[in-house]
Formats: sequence, structure tokens, C-alpha cells
Amino acid sequence: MPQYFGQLPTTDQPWSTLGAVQAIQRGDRTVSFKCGDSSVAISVLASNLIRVRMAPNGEFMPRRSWAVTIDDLEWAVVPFEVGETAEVVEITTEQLRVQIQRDRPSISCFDKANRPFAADADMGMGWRTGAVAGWKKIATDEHFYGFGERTGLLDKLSYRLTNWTADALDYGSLTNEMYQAIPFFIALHPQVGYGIFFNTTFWSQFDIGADQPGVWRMETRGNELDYYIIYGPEPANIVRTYTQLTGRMPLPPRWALGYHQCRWSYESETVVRLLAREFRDRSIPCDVIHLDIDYMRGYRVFTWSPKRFPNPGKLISDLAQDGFKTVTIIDPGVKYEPEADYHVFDEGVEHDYFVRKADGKLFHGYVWA
Amino acid sequence: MASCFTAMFGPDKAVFPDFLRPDVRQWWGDLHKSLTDSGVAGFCNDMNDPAFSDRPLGDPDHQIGCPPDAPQGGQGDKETRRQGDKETRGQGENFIPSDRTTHAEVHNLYGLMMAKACAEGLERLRPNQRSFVLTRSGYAGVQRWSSVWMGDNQSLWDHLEMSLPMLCNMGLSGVAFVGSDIGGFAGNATAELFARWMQVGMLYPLMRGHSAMTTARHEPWVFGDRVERICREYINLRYQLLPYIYTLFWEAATTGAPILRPLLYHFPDDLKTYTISDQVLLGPSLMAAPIYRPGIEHRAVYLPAGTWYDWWSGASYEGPTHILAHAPLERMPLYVRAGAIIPMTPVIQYTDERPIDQLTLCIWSGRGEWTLYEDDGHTFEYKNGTWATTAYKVSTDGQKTIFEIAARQGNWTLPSREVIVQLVGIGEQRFQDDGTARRLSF
Repeated sequence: MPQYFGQLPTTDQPWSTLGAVQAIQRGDRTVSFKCGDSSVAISVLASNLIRVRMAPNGEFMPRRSWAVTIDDLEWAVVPFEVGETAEVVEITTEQLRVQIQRDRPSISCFDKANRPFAADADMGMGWRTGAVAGWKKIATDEHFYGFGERTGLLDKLSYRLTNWTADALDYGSLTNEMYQAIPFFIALHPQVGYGIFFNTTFWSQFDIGADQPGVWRMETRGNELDYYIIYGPEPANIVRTYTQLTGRMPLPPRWALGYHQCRWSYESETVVRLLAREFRDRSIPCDVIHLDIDYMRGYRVFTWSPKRFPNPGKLISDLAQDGFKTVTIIDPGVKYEPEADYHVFDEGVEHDYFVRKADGKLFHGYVWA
Repeated sequence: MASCFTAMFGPDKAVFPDFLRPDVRQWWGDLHKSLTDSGVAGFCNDMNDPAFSDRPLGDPDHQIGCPPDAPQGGQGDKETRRQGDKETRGQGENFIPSDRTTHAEVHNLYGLMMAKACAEGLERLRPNQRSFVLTRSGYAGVQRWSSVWMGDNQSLWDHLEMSLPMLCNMGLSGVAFVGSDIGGFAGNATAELFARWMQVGMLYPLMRGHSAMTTARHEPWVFGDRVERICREYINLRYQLLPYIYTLFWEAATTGAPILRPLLYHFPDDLKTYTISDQVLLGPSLMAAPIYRPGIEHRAVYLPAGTWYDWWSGASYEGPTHILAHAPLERMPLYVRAGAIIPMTPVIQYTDERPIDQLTLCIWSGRGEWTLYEDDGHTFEYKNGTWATTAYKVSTDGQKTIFEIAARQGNWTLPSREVIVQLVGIGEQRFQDDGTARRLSF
């Protein structure tokens, strides 16, 4: 269980940080910085969207298509200016200015009224064995939202939030690892608002002033630091650009907006028919009935229990006559059942569809049995 | 139930598809045919966090998680993928051919990729009908494939209270179609908790009641007549508001905007809204200030700058201000902003019960604009232009309230219907809807 004392700091290896900027290269969208053995790349993808990458060993990872729908090269090239002084390099777009310190490379952003945001703290960017991290300042009156699925209240200032999907059974206000892991947040203070999408699918964590008041940290167990800064300032603009980057929902069927009734479980055809009748007899609107795991034959995914649901087609069409749509539950765990003529297991084994361990043996877990 | 539990949680083995692979997703998507052929119209993807590191429940000696170095993803046949593994090992950590990697990098994607397999399968199996996809686990971008519910919540007052900030933070994270289970999944709701939860549930983009095995039943009628009446009233209200809510879904699909919003979304320069977790906005116009504790019939409500109207009484208030709302069990305090335009329809028992022959546009004096989106609600024809939008505008001219309707846009032909424009508390005007531009004065 997630407890306060489970989160006390431990002794860790110190962080390595970037050396001074030695060389700068400008491309269509990207300004690259060579800092010792390391590389930093700052890309202007839109006038309010900046991608920052830092590779400790100088080599950037290949592109991953899993979350970000639009590759950097698919964004229309937008104009930006690069200015250099002895101390700083500045990248200026129509909406914001990004400033990079040369001697101890750190990144700060400014809006058109010169108000700073997403400004690196003293640590800036760093790495140690198996982890990379970035630190930024928390402004006065700044508050933090988003972070995917989070218990507790709205504002996450002073929280430490891990992005690692888990079966958050019996969750409560202290639970950190939830079912969803969405390494994105919105920081807001009056007149200024920005979003950060931390582009990593590895284990990652945000620390929003829990370790050090006034500083937020992002850390991941990957090989490079890769994040997007999205300038708003309004939350609506931030969400609009973030969903341009990661995609938007398709329009659902209208019936999905009605009332859904579920239980673990409406365990037989008889029970389901009585349930449906009850809604109509009592004039309580309802569009959808969910069938939980007991519709399956012994919890085998993609089967029907012949005893309890002998004629699912007839049941579902009768429900449809009464205006109900039927939704069924699906679990990813496929019952391990060799030589039992269970087609899902047999096909999966035949085509090698199941996750294997590094030694080549099938990975198995326990779910429903 | 004891024997059932033994069977349920017994240590039988299961294996797990590698949804990172396109060929596996194709296979898994096609497997849904056995269910769609029977008429199943949607799927709830559960346990895909993936839930194996805590199973068997209560038996920690046998619990195993997927090893972080388990290879996943990649394309091609078994040999090609294995070759990829050798190359990966040979070339150091940074060399990863195509999308071949290990569980450590893609653990967080397991649920998203399962939902993607499901959604893409349904596109093939039900090519002319939109389907409903729900998932428990996901990663950034999960909204492309699925709606999301907040997993196994509990029948507790504090779970009711935190459902709204949870869903608001999901919406701000790009996932607009979200819900928490009404009544709480685990545990037994009291009648009072259930009534309050159904009121709040009316605001959830996904409005679903659920309950776990071995808990008491949680349907709207099991808590007695009074609570049944409350459930009916708030589910009715949900159905009356469907034209408004459906338009919010369209907005989410086209701009990413959350459907359920914290106050700061519309008032980002008002610091007072920054920590308000107990009031929410459904779309731009309707604000709720629910009750989250037993025995409570009054609560403070913050009204940001502007004029606000009490949904139930019509009373008006000038914000920014705090008021004390009276909220007996039958009442969830609701407010609308001046200039609000909220379309409503008569109560129906399900969305396709009959063509909607009456649309009531509830408007409140002030200045406001809003566009109604409509289509057939079922098919993908909207992608070919078969939709209709109507832009409305409320303004004032001296003592008069002016309501302007722009000519309808789009190619969808609406069923014949009567439109009632109701300046709430003042008066109404009716006309047969022909899609032409109009200017009404109240």
C-alpha cells in the first residue's frame, strides 16, 4: 500500500549534468547544441510548441510512434529567429522565446510580455545510471493539473506522481500508481499557463515541489530526456495542442452517452432479462447493459457460458428490441490450457502471440481462473 | 459464494498477448467477431494494467510481475524478431530495430495497445456502426482508441468527492470520455450516498452504475421509493441534456476540449478557482456544486465573475461571490452563466426510442454564443459531411433579449421538429424548424 513512509528519500548516486555549449547547429525546425559528450536539441514544431531533447551520450533514440501521432517532420515549418550573445542563445517564435545559457546549459521560456515560464532550476538537466531527469522552477502562485488518473483533489502542487500502470485495487487518496499513466500536466499561474508532455513510456515520475519546495522534477528510467513544452496561456489552448500531438477521440455512438448499467455480474440470461424489464417498467432511462466476466465459459475470453447464456444472439436481439445495447467485458489474460481445444490459447501458441521471457519461455501470470 | 471465490481467485495460469505487435493486434481484434456476430456493440477492456503482479490476490508468495527484460513488439515472424533480440543485445542498449523492445519500455502501453486492438477490430467487424470501447488502463493518447473508467472505486463518500477532480484531471490530460462507477464498485452504498452519487453521475461523460460481487445490488430502484425518484429525475435530466452533451463530445473529438471541466478551465485568471475541486462545469455553461457528505443540506458555492442563474429557482447572482446553497437530498445545486444556451429534448427511455420531434433551447439573458452539433448518432456518415451545425447567439438590446439563429450548416437532414426557444423564467417562442436564419426578440 502506498504510504508516506514508503516515499522517504533514499541514498542515490549523484547526477551528472551538462558541460558548456561548444557548438550550435541550426536546421529547419531544430537548433542543436553540442555540450561535451552530450547533445541537446530544441525543436520549434509550432509557435507555441517546443520539443526539448537531451542525450547524455550524444546519440538520440529512434523515433517511437506509440503516443505522439505527429512526427516532428510532419509539422509545417514555422518561422523562428535564433539570436546569440556571449552568454545565451535565444530562439524566438511568434508566441514565445526560449533562452539557453551557454556556460551551464539551462532552458527558460518567456511569453511576449517577458513573463518567464518552464524555466530550468539550478540542476537543469542531468543523468545517472539508468535514469535521466530535468528540474524546473515553480513560480509564485503556480498550480498543477492533469497527470492522467490521480486520486485526491485537483491541484497537485507538493505531490510526487509516478507514471507506471498498475492494478490500483483498493485505491485511495494516497495511491500513486494508478491504472492510467499519462505523463502530461498543465501548470497555471495568472496570465501564464503551459503544459509539459514528458515523452517517455518507461517508468517516470514527476515531483512537484515535494523534494524541494519551489522546484519540480521529471525523471525517467530511459536513455534520454525528451519533453514538449506547450504554451497556452489558456488551459483550452494547451489541451488543444496536446491533443494535436497525441490524438483526439473519435465521435462515439450517441447511445454511449446514455445511462449504462453494470454489475459483477448479471450472471445469467434470466437475470439480464429481468434487469432490462425493470428499467422499462419503472420508466428509468437506460441504453446499455454490461456483462461482466461470468458471461464467459470458465473465464475464457471470447467464449459464452453455454449454461448461463445458452443463446446470446437471441438475448442480445431481444434486448435491442427493448432499446438496450450490450457491452461485454474482455480480459487480456488467456487461460493457459494446452490440448483443451481452446481456440484462443491454441492460435496464440501456434503463432507465438504471447509475451515470452528473455529466456524464450512463455510468461504466465494469474488472473481469473 | 465461498466456493465461487475459490474458483475465481485460484492460481490457474494465464498467458498474455503481446499487443505491441501489429499481427497480434490484428488477431485479437478479429477474435471479437465471435461476440459482435451475436450483436455485442461495445467492449470493456479490463485487467489490462496489466493486472498480474498482484495475482493471485492475497497470496503474495505466488505473485509475479512481467520481467522488465521480457522482449516485446517488433514485426515479422518469430525468427525475424528473435534475430532482432540478438542484434539488440549485440549492439548495446540504444540499438532497437523497429519497435522491438523490452517490457520495461512498454509496460505502460499494455492497456493502450489492447484498446487499440479492440477499436481497430471493431472498425473491421462493424464498419458501418460506431462502437463503444472502454478501457481501464492506458497511456498518453489512449483517447484515440477508447473511453476510460476510473477502475475499482469504493462505495465511500470520499470516493464520490474525489471522482470529480479525478475526471477533471483526466479531461485536462486529453481524455474527455471518462467516468467513475456510480455508487462505488466495492462496498455497499447507503441510500443517501447512492442518491447523491446518481446526481453527480449525471455529470460524468460516461454515466455508468456498477457494483462488485458479494456487495449489495446497486440498481436505481433498490434503495426505496424516494431514492428511486431521485435517480429517475437525474437520469431523466441527463437524457434531456443529450443534445448539449453530444455537442460537447463533438467538441472533444474536434478540439480535444474536456467535457467535464474544472472552473479554472474557463477562469484561468481567477486564482480562487485554482483549488476548487468540489464544483465543476459540464461544458461551458452548466456548473454543479454537489453534496459529498451525509446529512449535509447546505453548502458554500463560489460563483466567478459574471451573472449566474440558479438552474432550479431562476434566482440570479452577481459574481465573484460566495453563496450558501440549499440542497436537500432531491437537489444538486446547478447554475448557468448569463448568456447560456442549453438545448434540451423531452425525456426518452433510450436514445433511439423515437425521432426527437421537439427541441427546447433554454437561454438565459446576457451575451453568449454556442453551436449545436447533430448527426445520425450511429454511422460514420458524418465523416462525409452528413452532419448539421446551428450557431446561436444571445445578446441584449436595451431591456430586450435578442436570440439569433444562423442558417444551419452541413448536409444532414433532420427529422421534422418543433423548436421552442425559452428565455428561462420570462417567456417562450415556438416555430417549426426549417434550418433558416431567424432573429427572435424577448
